[in-house]
Amino acid sequence: MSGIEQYIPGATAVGVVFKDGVVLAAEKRLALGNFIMSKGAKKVFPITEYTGAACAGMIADMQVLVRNVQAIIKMREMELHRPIKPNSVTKLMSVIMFERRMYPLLTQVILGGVGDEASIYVLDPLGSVIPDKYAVIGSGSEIAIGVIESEYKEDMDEKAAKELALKAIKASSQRDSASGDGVDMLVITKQGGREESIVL
Amino acid sequence: MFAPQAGYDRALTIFSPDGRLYQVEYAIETVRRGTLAIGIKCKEGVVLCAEERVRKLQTEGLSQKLFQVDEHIGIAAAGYVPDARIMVDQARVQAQNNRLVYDEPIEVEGIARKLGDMAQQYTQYAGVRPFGVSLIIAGVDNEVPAIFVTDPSGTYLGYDAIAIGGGSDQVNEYLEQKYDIGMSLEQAIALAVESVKKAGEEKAEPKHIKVATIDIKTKKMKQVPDDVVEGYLKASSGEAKPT
Repeated sequence: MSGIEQYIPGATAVGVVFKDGVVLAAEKRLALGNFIMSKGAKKVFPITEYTGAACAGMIADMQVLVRNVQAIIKMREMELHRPIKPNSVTKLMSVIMFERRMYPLLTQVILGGVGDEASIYVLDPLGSVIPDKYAVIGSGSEIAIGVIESEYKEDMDEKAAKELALKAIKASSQRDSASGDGVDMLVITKQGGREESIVL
Repeated sequence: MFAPQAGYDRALTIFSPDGRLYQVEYAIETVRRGTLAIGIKCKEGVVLCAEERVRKLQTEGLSQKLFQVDEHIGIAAAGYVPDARIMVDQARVQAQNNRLVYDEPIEVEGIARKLGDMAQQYTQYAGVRPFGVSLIIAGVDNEVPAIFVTDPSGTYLGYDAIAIGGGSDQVNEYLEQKYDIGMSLEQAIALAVESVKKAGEEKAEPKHIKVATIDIKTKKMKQVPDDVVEGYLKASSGEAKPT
């Protein structure tokens, strides 16, 4: 075996916008080739009180990226005396990724949060930014997107959005060998972010 | 004036034994000897106004003392105006950089802080002199009007209405009496034009007064045409109503 999956773990991560917030969710498996390195990897990251991200790809790269973005955004919050909106956090992350395009951070990101409104964005390793109402990334994304696309409705409530995200990740955990071992979830509303962990 | 202690007012900006930076104080004096600039905030937006000395045969055109920094932010300068251009260049770069990195227009205070930091650096580096200008930075942050003033020391402060440059003491006193946040933009322009006349040693002529506004609704800086300024001037001397 000599495929890229030996070095870059697979994953499934989803983001869903609902009426008053966003749900970000990812499963917890870290698999290098056929070996499961960890059943407790964390691929969902709170960034500020009102923004967070879920990733697929190199977890080290994502941890470094999130720490960098967190540090810069914290300084900006102190300068502006207000929370920073998701579009700003996304653009900053995009700039950092684009600056490193010759030596890229090998991670796909769904970044979401609540500013004037709830929104999510998808970033690729080179820093392109695509806004959306729902998004799926990772090796299990083909399975998860089928579930989300068939059941997503605008103006869902929090409960329905969480159930949909969970259902999508459960589906990909069944059929993608690189995904599984439980789900981490981050729900962000105007009241702030809340993390949960679900055992499958 | 003050009698500086020998050696503490030369090229290097260093503290005198009584804790003063003479070069910075001289730079602030340059501002006092410059022509007047005014910024006024009201509920509908902000007004920037600058008094300029225009020679008779000088071609008219863009103001030397009013600058646009971004769509929603403008600057009025008093003092040594070429220095203002250098600071405005930096402000423009900062404004565009903020859009590129953070996907949102920069706040007025962001520009003030950047220019304040820049001015401060020039009070500390060796081989440089402080900037000889004060700047009124006015604009609209997300429908909220804001005005800040920087000076050669690097201090920046927020104001509702402020005048800098020659005659600013009288004008600030006048503004303190007349200021009302509930004014319309037209009333604020009228107050600015009237204020220029209060300070004026020479007869105030429309060619000498440049005015720009930023409306909180459009969030765009707009120059007020000379003939409209003339209308306000005439109205303030009781000749006619402003158009």
